[in-house]
Amino acid sequence: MNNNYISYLEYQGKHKGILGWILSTDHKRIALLYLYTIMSFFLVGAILGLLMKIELIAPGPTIMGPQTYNALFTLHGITMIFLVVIPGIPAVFGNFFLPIMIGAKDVAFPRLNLLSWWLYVAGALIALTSQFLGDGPPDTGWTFYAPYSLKVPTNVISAVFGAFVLGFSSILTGINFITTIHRMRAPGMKWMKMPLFPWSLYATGWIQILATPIIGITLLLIIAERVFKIGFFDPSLGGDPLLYQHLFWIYSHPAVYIMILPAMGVISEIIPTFARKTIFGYTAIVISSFAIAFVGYLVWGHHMFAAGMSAQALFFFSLLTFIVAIPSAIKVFNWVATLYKASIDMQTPLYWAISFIFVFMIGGLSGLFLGSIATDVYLTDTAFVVGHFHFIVFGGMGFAFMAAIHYWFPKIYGRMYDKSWANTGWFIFFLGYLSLYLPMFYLGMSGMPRRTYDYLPKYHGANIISSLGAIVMLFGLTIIIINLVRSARFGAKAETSPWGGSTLEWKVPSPPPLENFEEIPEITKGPYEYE
Amino acid sequence: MEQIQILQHRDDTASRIGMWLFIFTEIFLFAGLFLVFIVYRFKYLDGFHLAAKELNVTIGTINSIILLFSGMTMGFSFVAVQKGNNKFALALLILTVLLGIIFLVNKYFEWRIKFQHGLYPGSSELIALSKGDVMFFGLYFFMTGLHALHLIAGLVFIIVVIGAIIRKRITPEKLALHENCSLYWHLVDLVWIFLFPLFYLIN
Amino acid sequence: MAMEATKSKTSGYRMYLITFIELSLLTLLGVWLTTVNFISGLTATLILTIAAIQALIVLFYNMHLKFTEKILAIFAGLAISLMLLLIIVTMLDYIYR
Repeated sequence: MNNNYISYLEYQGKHKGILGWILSTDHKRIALLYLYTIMSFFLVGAILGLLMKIELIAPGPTIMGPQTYNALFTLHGITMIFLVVIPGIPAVFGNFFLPIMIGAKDVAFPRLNLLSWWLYVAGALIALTSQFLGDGPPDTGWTFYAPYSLKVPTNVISAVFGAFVLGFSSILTGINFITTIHRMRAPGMKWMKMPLFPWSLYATGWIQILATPIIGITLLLIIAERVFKIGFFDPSLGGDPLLYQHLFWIYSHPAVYIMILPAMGVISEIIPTFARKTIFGYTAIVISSFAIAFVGYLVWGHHMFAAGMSAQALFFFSLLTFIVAIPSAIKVFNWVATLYKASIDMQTPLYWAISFIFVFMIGGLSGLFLGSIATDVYLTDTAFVVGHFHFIVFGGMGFAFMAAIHYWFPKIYGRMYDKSWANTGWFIFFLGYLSLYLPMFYLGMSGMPRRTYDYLPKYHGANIISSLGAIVMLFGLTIIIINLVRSARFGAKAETSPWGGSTLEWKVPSPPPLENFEEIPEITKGPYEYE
Repeated sequence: MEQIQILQHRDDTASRIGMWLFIFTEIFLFAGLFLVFIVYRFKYLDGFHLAAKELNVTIGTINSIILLFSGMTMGFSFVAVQKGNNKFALALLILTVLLGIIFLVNKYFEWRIKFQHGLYPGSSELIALSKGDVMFFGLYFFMTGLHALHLIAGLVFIIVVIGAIIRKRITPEKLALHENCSLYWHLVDLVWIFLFPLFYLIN
Repeated sequence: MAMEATKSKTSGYRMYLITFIELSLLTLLGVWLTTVNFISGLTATLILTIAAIQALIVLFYNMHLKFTEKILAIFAGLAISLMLLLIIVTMLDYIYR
């Protein structure tokens, strides 16, 4: 490891300054472009969420009326789902580490990669114009259900078109990663010697490619309905509003697997490193990733149990929903088995990874109550659902993202963050998070509806706990972000392999040089051989 | 530029994989519409049978043959470039573009007749007809319209390939761009292979 | 690499001419079927079967799936199967409502 090399951060190519970043085709710089834009939108979404929780701290209007609240939860959903959790881990950590972890110098289509980021920015800006154009911000929810979204005079078209453009960003990333993994693995790295994070990106890529076009066409149909009165989802013209829901969820359910599979891939990297032990059940984890991806296509109707589907459809979707839980559970067993009797090194990434398992399990188990139709009819459209998906999505993808940034930070920036502040931030965040979301299960079971700014007085106490939890959580988030931002510039210099990780990214300098490897390595061992 | 250092050699297989993955996204885009079609045909079988009588099977068949023929000229152009017959390849590509334009012109006339009869989404005449009619014509215009847009995109792609051949960016050793264009054009044909029977024939 | 394979098998204009003739004949067969059978369910099935055969010809010959890397044909098969599965599952709702 020599110190006289030019890292990707310092490299000066054809373009200087900021142009050297926003016109760069280097996967590492593109990853950071995504990191900064995604984190910015995450903060926007978080502030929107905070405003919603402040409104909900007391019954009746507290700081806003119902129209504003509806617009807020719509934008919160659009921002978080389309701008943060769907691109999140693949765009940031997939872009940065996929080539390095398979021994490649870049992805298969570097220019397409840059285009993906530009499409992300374009889609985000188009969606944001919906907030400012004449007819007012959309209030349909991020789900844009027909017939309301077809008729309401608010700015639905710009929001929906923004999401359409964002879909292309996701598709191109999927195409890039699949091709990269097929064609650019280093000599000797057979499929079953590839680490689990690239495997998760491979399974995810297939979902990005085969599911996203369906939301694409669905969004175009909303536009066609509003502009041309085409009528597919309008009952007065012969259409079926439920068909909209089918089309919407045929994408949006697999989308949650786009969110969670890479997250699980991150956890599968972190746990062996800090257990100093090879992952338990490598093959099972690979197979379960594909099982999740495939079965995940067949459960979308569980978002529509109360909408009016046939009994046969209800039965099918409920059954498949229970089945899809199995491969996820298999992964949890594998992670826990890896930790069992291991030489555990408690560091910040492992705190996040273990708390991920905890909150992901709560999310998954609460999902069973929703997957069972008899209980779902009481819980659907209540705060219970809100609690469920925040545990599984925020707890799942969010905690994994935090784990990933704390794991790979030294490699990305060549500096280490302050570990005590990181652990303190984690702890405060975690407590606030539990206080924010656990009460929602109670509230839902007691009957509090979701997506409403007002509620009965009997729900007041639990709502106070929830809203205060949001404030604590955001305080913890502030500590975490300040620590990371400071340390990127002023942190202590990091070594090549500060955690003792065994995968290829820990063999290249921190931060890596432009082309990652001086010489493409020849692979002879499996990815997690520690003894 | 850093990109030249990294991509030391072209990978045609990667290019082909990438193109096929993109083709899958197009297939799934239309799949959503085929789903809508199947649902409403099931719901309004008689309405669809009646509405379909408005379509002219002769023009549809002629358009089908035109598109199939253009697929052949496209394939021919690919062989011609492989053999180094650039002039012949260019002539074939220009012919392909012309055939595509003729297809669009036919489509324009078909659409015009419907518009003249008030059979288009949002018209008061259409709303007065049965719900099956409304769904049928909504699907007809949206699906043939989306197909036409893809056809136009294909024509643009072909023009790019024509330019690339002229500027010697496509050679018997560097065929990926031409092959990808050919794949895309055949995809446009593939979609029509299903659109034609669904709208014009199965009644 | 695979370009050579593609070259040798398709280095004839012949293949594209033959597929054009096959596809056109199948199209005309489909059109003719609309004039003959009046068992409407059967006609529709036959016509769509013809379309499927045409699709296979386009995919395997015009789009080279027969001559290029086998994995691409596997991908195409899996993708199309998934598409059909999604349609069938959705129809579970509509058929039984």
